Amino acid sequence: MDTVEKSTFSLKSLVSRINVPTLIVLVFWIFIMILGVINNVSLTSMITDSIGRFGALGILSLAMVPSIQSGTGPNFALPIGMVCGLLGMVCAIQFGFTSWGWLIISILLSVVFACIIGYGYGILMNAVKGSEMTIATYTGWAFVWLFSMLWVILPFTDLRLRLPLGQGLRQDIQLAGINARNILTNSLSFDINGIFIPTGMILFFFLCCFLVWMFMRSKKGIAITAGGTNPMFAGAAGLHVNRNRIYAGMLSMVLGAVGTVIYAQHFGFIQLYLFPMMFAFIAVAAVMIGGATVRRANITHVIVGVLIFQGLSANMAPVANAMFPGTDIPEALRTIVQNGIILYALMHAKGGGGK
Amino acid sequence: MNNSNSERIKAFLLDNIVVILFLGIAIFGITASGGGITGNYTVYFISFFSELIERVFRNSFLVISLMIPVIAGLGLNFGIVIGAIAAQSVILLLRYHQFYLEMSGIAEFLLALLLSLPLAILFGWLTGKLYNKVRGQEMIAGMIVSYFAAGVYNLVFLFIVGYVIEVDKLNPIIAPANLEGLAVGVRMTVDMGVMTGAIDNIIRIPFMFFIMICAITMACYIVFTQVRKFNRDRKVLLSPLCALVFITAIVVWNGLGSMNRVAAVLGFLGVAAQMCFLLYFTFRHKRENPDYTVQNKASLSFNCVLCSGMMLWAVYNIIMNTFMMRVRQAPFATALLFAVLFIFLSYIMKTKLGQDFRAVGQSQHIAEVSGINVKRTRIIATIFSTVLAAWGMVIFLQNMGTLTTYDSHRHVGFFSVAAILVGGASTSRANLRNVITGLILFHAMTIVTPDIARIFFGDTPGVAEYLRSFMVYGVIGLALGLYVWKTLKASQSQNSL
Repeated sequence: MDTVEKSTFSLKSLVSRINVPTLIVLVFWIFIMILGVINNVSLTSMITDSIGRFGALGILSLAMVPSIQSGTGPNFALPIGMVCGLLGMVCAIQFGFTSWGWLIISILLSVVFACIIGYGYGILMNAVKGSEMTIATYTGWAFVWLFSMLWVILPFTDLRLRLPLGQGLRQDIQLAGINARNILTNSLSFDINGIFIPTGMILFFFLCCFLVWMFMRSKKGIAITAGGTNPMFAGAAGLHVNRNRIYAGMLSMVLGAVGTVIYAQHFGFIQLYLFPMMFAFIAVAAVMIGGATVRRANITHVIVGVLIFQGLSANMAPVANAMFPGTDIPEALRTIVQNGIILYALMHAKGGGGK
Repeated sequence: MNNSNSERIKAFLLDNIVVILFLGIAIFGITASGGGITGNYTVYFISFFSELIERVFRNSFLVISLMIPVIAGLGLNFGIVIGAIAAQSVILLLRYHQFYLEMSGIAEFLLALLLSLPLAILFGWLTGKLYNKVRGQEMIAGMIVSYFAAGVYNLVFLFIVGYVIEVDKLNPIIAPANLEGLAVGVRMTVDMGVMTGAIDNIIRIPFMFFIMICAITMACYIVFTQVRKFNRDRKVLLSPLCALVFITAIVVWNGLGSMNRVAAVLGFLGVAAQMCFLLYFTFRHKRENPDYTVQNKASLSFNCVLCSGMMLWAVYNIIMNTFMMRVRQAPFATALLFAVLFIFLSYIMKTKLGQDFRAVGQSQHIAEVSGINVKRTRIIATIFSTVLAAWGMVIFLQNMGTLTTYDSHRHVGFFSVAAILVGGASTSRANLRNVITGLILFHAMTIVTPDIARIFFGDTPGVAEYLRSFMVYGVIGLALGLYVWKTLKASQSQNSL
């Protein structure tokens, strides 16, 4: 009798600890992998893809942590940070950097751009408390379209950037041309039975996670969290809630920008124009799958969520192609999972955002 | 007095900043374009107004569908995409069977309206239930749920149709067979066939005749609303009756196809008659109640000047037979349908249900306390919106002539929301005037953006589209942001008092 009670108790605590959507998506992912193995999709390539996407998209999801903790809700304006990353990378190529030099200068430049724009974004978010998510989405999109115009008219001269004919920058800028393709992905990498481990990229992601974790535990970070949990109380305790929200917004944008550089080097090209449009939803969905809510998120949520969601997205395409050749369902399925999970998180949020 | 006047002007400007901004953009685009690519203002204006009249009526139902959720306090319903999806599903079903049934265009159109009704009600009910669970975040939830629904829609029409449900491979809307000989999914673009222009082309009347009819309708509306304030007498009904007679006369005269000048005179008399009604009723009332003064003089006189101006403009163009008579003819039947909806919605807002919408929109708590079922009212508002959006999509598609299966619905939400915001609506305030102003201004803006892009960036391809979208998303962000900022500031100043 005692043991039964004990086991139900532990099961209960386990269920309450593990988020239901996390479990559902995890089971779905495993199910897809099993289907893949049955349909002769190589398991090693599936795992390699999953790990690759995990490293490439991790930092973009990490960007959600400071903004959620500060009370602004998920950073739906992530495209702004991503555009800063794109601008940094394009400028670095224009200035003639290649290889590791390019990577470092790109990251530095993007961080500078993201800090400047993130500051403005933080002020905007303070002006629209209560409706941050909707307005952030629109600001992000408007920014992407604005930069789509700017990519056409900005006076970049490098021939690796410009269209060979006509005006404006290329849609895709190949990084192989500056020896920067997979530069971080391939560093320290190794193979285990055909499973490719991009050690450099994964380590960089964990380093970012660690830095954010440290920051959120610092005096400033705790002040940010306090302002997000209870702004009235934090204000009464003498914390500058609005200023802390701005810092969190800046950090979020910086992570978005750095994440874009990592993403680009992993896939081997910089995609300009409309590329950042829908990334905010992908990044938000990943954190939510990890168990975050629109009010609370931590590093564990990011790591678990990104692994499961990006693993699922990476594996859905080859498996679906093997099972139903000539159809186009993985994209539709991913959209359903991604937006379904965000809806779930919104439904379970207590109260509005930021109030 | 001076101070309060300047403050009033300031408040007016701040309230209408988005409208003024876009009016400015439209006027700037028209004047700076130098007559567009041809450099000829006659050609430019003809194409401008032809485009405008088509776009306004193509999108009319979609934009008006946003009104009720705003009044009911749900904010801007980005979930109208789900209504559009309902309509598209029904249209695809009809197009599939049309291959064997060969109905007439109008029959297929009416069937599309009829069949999309239950589907839209179901979807609206589900969306409404969702909105009740995410109170305070309806807009972002609406956006996300529309993506979710689009994902399900894609799954159904890309995969389930053909893979799970057996379909006729030779049907023109089914994608051609792939290498394995499987015909899976619906084509990327589906021709609307006989449904193209099914309602638009029933009656088309010259643009200037249409402006004249608008002037008469507007005059009648002024009389009706103004006189109703003090006169509950049946005699007021003379005004719409008279307007109806004149409008019918103009349409019939146009159908007979002779002597434009007579129609111009009819239009002039129509507006003049309404003005006489207004004067007669007002003076009679004033004689009976000597201390009566006309309220809201400014807006009343503005409306009168606007409708007389429209009428004179039309009469001038018709009598002188100017180039404006070469503008594309207006879809009268669609306009009539829109007018019916307009009257219906005005009526709804006066019923118990309409009052409930308003009460819930003002304060959910007070509405709850005073015995209104808040959740139910919000669901009804969402259902209204979704159904109107579905019908709006049917009208939109019959005008376009092609259904881009996986794309048509995607922009519906954003463009309609931008239009109603350009018309001066906000997340908590929207009326029929906002809808009409927004329809005209927003579509004027979308027509002139290529010209503005040409002025600033030269003939680079693609930039016009970027600029247009930047403006659409920018205006939504700006309008929403300004509104939230104003509300916050107001509540702060209230707190500090």
